[in-house]
Amino acid sequence: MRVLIIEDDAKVAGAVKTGLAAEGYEVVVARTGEDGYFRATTEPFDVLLLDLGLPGRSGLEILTGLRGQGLTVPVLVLTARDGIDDRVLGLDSGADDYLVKPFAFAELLARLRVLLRRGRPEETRRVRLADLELDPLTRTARRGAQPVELTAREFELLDYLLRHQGQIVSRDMLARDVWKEPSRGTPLDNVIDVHITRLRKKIDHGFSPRLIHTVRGVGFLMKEGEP
Amino acid sequence: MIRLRLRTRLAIWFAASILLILTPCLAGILVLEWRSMRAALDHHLTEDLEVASEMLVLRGTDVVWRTEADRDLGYDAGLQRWVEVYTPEGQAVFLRGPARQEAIRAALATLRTEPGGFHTVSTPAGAYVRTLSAERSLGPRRFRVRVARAEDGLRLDLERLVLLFAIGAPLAVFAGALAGYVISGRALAPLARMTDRARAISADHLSERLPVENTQDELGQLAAVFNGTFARLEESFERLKQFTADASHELRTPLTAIRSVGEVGLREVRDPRAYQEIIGSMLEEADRLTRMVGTLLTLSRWESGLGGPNQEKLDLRTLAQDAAGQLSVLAEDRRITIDVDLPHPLVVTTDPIMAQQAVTNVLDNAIKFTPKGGRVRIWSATDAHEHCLILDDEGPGVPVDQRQRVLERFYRIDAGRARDTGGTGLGLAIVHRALAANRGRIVIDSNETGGARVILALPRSDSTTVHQQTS
Repeated sequence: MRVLIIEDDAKVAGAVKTGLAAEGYEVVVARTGEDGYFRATTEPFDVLLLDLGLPGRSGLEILTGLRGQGLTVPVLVLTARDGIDDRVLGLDSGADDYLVKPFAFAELLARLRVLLRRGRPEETRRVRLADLELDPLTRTARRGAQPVELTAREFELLDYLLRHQGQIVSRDMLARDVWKEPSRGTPLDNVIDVHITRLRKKIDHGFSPRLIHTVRGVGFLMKEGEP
Repeated sequence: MIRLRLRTRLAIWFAASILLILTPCLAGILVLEWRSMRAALDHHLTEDLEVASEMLVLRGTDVVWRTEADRDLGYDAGLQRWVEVYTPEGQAVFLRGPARQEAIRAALATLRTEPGGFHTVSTPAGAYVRTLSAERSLGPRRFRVRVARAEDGLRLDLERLVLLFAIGAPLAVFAGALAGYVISGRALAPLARMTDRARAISADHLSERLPVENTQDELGQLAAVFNGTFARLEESFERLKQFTADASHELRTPLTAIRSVGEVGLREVRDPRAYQEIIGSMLEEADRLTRMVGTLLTLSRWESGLGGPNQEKLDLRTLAQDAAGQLSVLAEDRRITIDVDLPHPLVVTTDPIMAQQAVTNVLDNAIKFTPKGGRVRIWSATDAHEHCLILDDEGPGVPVDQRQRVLERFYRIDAGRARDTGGTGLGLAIVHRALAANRGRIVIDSNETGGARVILALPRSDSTTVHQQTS
């Protein structure tokens, strides 16, 4: 998977490049709008990461230019402006998705995966991990031979975590995808934490290995063994 | 157009009005005076004619004054009046006074054929003479009798009067202008003092006020209005200062934490587990900072009215039930009961996201401040225009003097308490802004338990009053 990052800030570009490379992506960084535009039109990429606040040629111009050339490569826009109008402008100009800076890296990974999966058959994701198994039909869970009683919300949360197993899930992602809230406030953070605590009690207490892990300052991770 | 000072303009107006009043008055006086003097002269002429008619007698063929001795009495040249008697053919038969002089008679020669009555004639010498002539019979003969008096004295009097007015009127106008200048100067003096004082009032001296010399007059009221404005300005400056101080404190705290945790972490070589803890702790602070900046931006966006709120019909009851459902886990954790006592739908017109945040934040506060095992009650009240969602908690309540201030950004009743529970100090500011942007309001009160009562009022969607929508 080839990713082109068009981002002028060296630190952000470097961090994202390192992070994506660690996830197995092949990453090219363009530090100016002109360079980015040239590379995007001459080399094949699977996805573009485009900063809107570029010096010289703005991100929106590049985006409009690329779409005008008939390029259909998915574009994820990064912006520091989170006003509604900017977002609409970005999406109208042909962006496939946007992320507001500062963003969580976990979230960037999740969005990239969604963009790359788009247009391909939905891969069958396992809804099981180790001896934990989820039955979407009866909406129940089972750890080993032990059935686990889950509330509706707990089931959705566990389902989401299991589908993203091995990936870090941020509170932002949970707020948006599980709680369907457009913005995440302090109250919701606390609600999420309480639910995770309860889920952990039901899934992990008295069982081995531990499956739900907290990655401090980032979010949660479902994985067999230590993170 | 030249812009004159108010004082100068007032003086000009004064002078102009005096001129406007004085001119017709003086003109009227001149006309009346002339007429009455003329009437007096004519009266004298009539008397002269009557006397002459009595005193003139026919002696033989001569016409003579009855008393020969005083024929010239009162008719000397100085008095400038005379009597003439002519035959119908124009032959002078009797002359008395200056008419006896050939030159004067010559000047009057053309007048012999004039009809009877009053006439004013000017002599070649430039003098004016008023005459009265009539037909009279002396015995069997008929004569034309004419009496005359000089009009120059009259004209001289009038000229003096005109001269007096010509000098007096400009003086009066000048005096009026001067009075106007002085009076308006005195009247405007408080304004000048206010101007000086207002000029001195700047951002650094907002506590100063304009002098109010008389609360009843217009200038006093103006000063009072300005003072009110200055007071509000001072208040908002104070709040801005407070906000700047609070914001820098709140924003610097996480930054300081990130720095010190990072620096301390780098002081010695640690195992990966310890580094994970350190980085995680730094990320937590970065997250807190992100949320705080995001909330501040949201607040300023709502305050500036950019974009404007979406106006949708929405049931506050559903909103409250959803919020209660979402936050129920937090309440359960602290064994707090949430009683939702809303029997009727409460349909209001508002922005759904703003309203949802408002209700969630207020309910979260209620749960946070209610002691373990306590109770939070959600109920409602309705009037003709508004639906009110009312949340009662059993916490310590909000002191009366802080009920307005808690709505400000970063204001905390107890600085330590809220931060430990993870708050940003922006929750109620968000509520306040959200409601204000939707023509609603938040009222903080107390309830029977001594806890806080928060009333969220929003306009009913079926309200009969049509509100001006702010855009």
